[in-house]
Amino acid sequence: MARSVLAGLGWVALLVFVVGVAGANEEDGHHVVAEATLGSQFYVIDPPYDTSNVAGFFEQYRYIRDQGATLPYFLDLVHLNAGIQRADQTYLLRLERWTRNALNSNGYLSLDWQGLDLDLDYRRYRSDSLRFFPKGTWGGETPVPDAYGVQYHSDLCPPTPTSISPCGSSPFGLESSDVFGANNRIFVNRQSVGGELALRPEGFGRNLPLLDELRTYARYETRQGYRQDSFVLATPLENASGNLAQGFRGNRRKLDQSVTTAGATLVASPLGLFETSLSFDFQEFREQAPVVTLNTLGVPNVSPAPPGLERAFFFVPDTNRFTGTLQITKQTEAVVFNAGVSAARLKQSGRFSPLQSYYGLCENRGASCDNAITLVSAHVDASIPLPGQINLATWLKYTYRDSDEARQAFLADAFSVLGSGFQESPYIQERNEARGGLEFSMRPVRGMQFGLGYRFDWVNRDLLFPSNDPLPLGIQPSVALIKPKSFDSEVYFRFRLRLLRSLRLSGEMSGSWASEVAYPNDLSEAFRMRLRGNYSLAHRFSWPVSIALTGHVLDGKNDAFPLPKSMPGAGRTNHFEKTEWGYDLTVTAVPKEAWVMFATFSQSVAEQSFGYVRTDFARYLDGLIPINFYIDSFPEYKSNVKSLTFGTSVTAWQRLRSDFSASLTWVDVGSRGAPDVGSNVGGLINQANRIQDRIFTLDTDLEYQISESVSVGAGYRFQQFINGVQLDPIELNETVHTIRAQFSIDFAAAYAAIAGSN
Amino acid sequence: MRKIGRARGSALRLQGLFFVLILAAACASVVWEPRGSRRTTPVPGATPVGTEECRVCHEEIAGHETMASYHSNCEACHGSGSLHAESEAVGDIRNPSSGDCLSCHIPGRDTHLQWGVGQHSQAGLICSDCHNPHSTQRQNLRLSQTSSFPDMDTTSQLCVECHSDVGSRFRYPTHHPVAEGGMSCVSCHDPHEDARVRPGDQNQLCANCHQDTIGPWIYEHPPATEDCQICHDPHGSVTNNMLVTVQPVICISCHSVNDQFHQLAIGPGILDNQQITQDFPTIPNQRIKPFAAGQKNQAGTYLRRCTDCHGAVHGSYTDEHLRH
Repeated sequence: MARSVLAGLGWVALLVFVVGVAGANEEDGHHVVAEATLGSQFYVIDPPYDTSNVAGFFEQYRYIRDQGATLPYFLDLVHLNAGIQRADQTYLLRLERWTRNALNSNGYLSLDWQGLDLDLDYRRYRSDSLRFFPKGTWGGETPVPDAYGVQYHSDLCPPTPTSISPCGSSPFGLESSDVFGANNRIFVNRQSVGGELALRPEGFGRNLPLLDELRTYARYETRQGYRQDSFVLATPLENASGNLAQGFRGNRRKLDQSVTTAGATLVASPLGLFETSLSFDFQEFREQAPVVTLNTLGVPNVSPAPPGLERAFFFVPDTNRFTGTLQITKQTEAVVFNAGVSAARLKQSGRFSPLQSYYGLCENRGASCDNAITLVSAHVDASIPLPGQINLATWLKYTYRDSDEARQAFLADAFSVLGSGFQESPYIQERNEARGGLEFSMRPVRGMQFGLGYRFDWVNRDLLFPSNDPLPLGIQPSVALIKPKSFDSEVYFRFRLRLLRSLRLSGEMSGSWASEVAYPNDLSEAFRMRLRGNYSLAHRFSWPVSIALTGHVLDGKNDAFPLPKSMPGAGRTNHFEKTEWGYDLTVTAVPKEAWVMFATFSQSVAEQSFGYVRTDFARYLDGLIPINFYIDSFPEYKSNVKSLTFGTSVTAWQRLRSDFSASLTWVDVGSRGAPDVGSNVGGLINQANRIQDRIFTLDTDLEYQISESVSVGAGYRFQQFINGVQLDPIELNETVHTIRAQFSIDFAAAYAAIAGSN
Repeated sequence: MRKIGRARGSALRLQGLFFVLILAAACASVVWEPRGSRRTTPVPGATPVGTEECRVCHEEIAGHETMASYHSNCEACHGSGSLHAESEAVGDIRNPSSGDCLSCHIPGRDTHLQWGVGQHSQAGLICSDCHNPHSTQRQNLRLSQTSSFPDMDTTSQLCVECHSDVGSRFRYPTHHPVAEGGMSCVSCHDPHEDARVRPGDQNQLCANCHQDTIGPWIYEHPPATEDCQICHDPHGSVTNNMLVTVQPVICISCHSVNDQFHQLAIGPGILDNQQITQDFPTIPNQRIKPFAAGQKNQAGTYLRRCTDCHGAVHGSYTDEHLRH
């Protein structure tokens, strides 16, 4: 499809050019514009697994170089702009295409004729998974699984041991040949074609009281590729052999998805009294890839599941979604009022999962499989001036979400037939949420604004807990880690100042508190601050220089989530703490009109500590076995990311333009246990999940204008990924050098030059 | 019966909401002025002179930069220019505000309906902070002069000039492909709307692209049902899948872990037979549970990702433990 669409766009471009040259009415001032940049890109990749076909940090470049590019990898139409312009240089018809590399491109075709706007676009993007290989263990200890190794665990000793963990010594042994010996890329190719047709009667000289604009749109998107799946097979259903050690599995699941969207929006101002819009939208999602079951996987050393009892792995339901939205606005010089209501219904449609189809549960047995979610929201939003330079801004939004109860009927029926498949954890059957806020702001003098406000978020969840019939299994409220209600309030103060003509400051400080929280890692108390300052030194130096500094702080904790069924004699809560702070400083200088320099340094830190909680038994056994909660220890987590960026852009001698930019990013993530407190869980997490990445990028471009119609360019890009925590013997470090050369021609200018010379 | 009752309740809610909206619209119609009143206010005492007269001095706007078709009449937005043409004083001409732009552009998009109450507007921004009405760039957008993201679309380059903290996140190891040009800030955010009152719930926006994670599921994971951002940071993260923290931290900051299935009863484990019996020294009445003789630390749980076994974290059609 990509090839044909691209070819189609190319032909359209050529057609525009030919028709435009032949038919452009010079007297009306219409003229043809056609510019194209042909580029070539050479990739020099320096990874240790260059020949292994394994996805790495810069996977897409290697893939382009090796295969998969639409055009030969060394040649591409980097930019194309063609169309017909009016005398005022606005476009009547325009075709534009950008290509960042041979796999990722955007194309647009637009027509702007009187009250008719037509926009068509084509997008193509391939995303490749970055596979992290956190170090699974450390020297001298018993081999344990590498996080990714589990995906390819086969439990088989290869003839020649190549495994990273010694074969047979661990139930999670990893065979490196399984990972690196085959083409096991994980990626998704996304391609979409869509368009929008807008009709505005005003553009045809007609003012209709009930129609300002009618917009219709449609889009078709495909996603094809592979996704990582990892799972554990439990006995007896999926792992009939009952060997737990053979239960840890991975799979590279094929994706073949399509999304079709169509909709219309009507914008009107009935009798000029207010503005309103009414939208309807339909979206159809389909997964065409075959359903994966244990039997289709053919897992070695694991007996196939008995007929009819096998499960679908990662079954994705096909869905249809209908959405309707109505919105109105009334605006005067100072007062703005906006309100709206929206309703959406997402419903399973198309194929059933094997469990749903088994014994015809959904088709024949009367169990309802009308699996759907209904979502309704409504809001009001207003900005109202009050006496004394004070403005009142207020908003309120209500959201209602409902899961159909068909699922319950299906589960009961499935259980009676299959003897398994009970509900374990609570469902959010209904969810009511109200959010709102109120802010008084004032502008005492020009360039100064203060605001004091309050906002809240209230949620009421109708939690449906598992029934204890026929078996007393399932998480009950007494051991649930979700609460039905939460209510969070926040008071904030914000300001915006313009001082001394060259200094601008703005910021917001807030304190929030929650009388009820839903989850253990919600915040029951928090302080937040966000500041921004801009200082211009234009009047102090011969070079205009500006400095921008932003910063943010979050400091919060949760002491409002009591642990259920904790040890007798000690009422306790699961204490959770979260701290985040960061800043970035940017300096921009303009030494000359055509010379800009900039540099930015930023740092962002996130820290958490929380009680790591253990229970004797699985919580869904509550009722059969007494469940006790214990705080084991207090792991601490910290991530620290620093980034330095600088660059310059210069146009010299009016013909030569050069751009240079470079960025360096340091990522450091680690955990630790609180000293002398409980078990060292934090330390263990650190062994498996420490991240130390360095990402370097350097980009430079030169463009030289040979004549009015022709320019040439050259560029070089250096990209390097360094993983500081290596998984021996694998190195993930990777370097890509990209060398670019390009040639641009303005066909219209060239045509004019040729015509002039004749 | 309960289902019928709830369906009836939903219908009543809907009817109620529509009633409130219609009532609000009716009130608005009575109280406020019609739309036409927001057209640019004239400059007192001035008379139109025509665009050609403006071009005598403002050649750089009329010539070097180009003007969109509806912007080619200077006085449509700046008001009559006779006094300014005579005196050349700044005070004798008016510079348009956002209200002037919206007098024509409300029908441009339905989200323009929220501009006046939106966060950008409330923060004091005006249209010309992002748009150059004299330009023929797409959407008349201004161009960033200091972007270090060569593959990023021009709209996003403009966004991260102010939202520099978000721009930094596009340099993190995993992020949505905005820096690579695969998508744009406006793929998710409409800068004209009030995001606080966006229709639907928090997840509906994500569901526009990630339909395969949204269900409806037979077995669900409540946080995934409520808000994707409980676990994911869409702008960028230090770990894969844009998780807000690494695994297992993100999971065990909420979840308790049971000894029954997570202590690696089969095969050797790290800290085999480690006995942990001490009290917490700094927290009264907190006491951990000691491992029994022969019991193993839950090391296997910490040393791999929770999703290696519970891979269906968004929801499942098959497994009540979200394993597949």
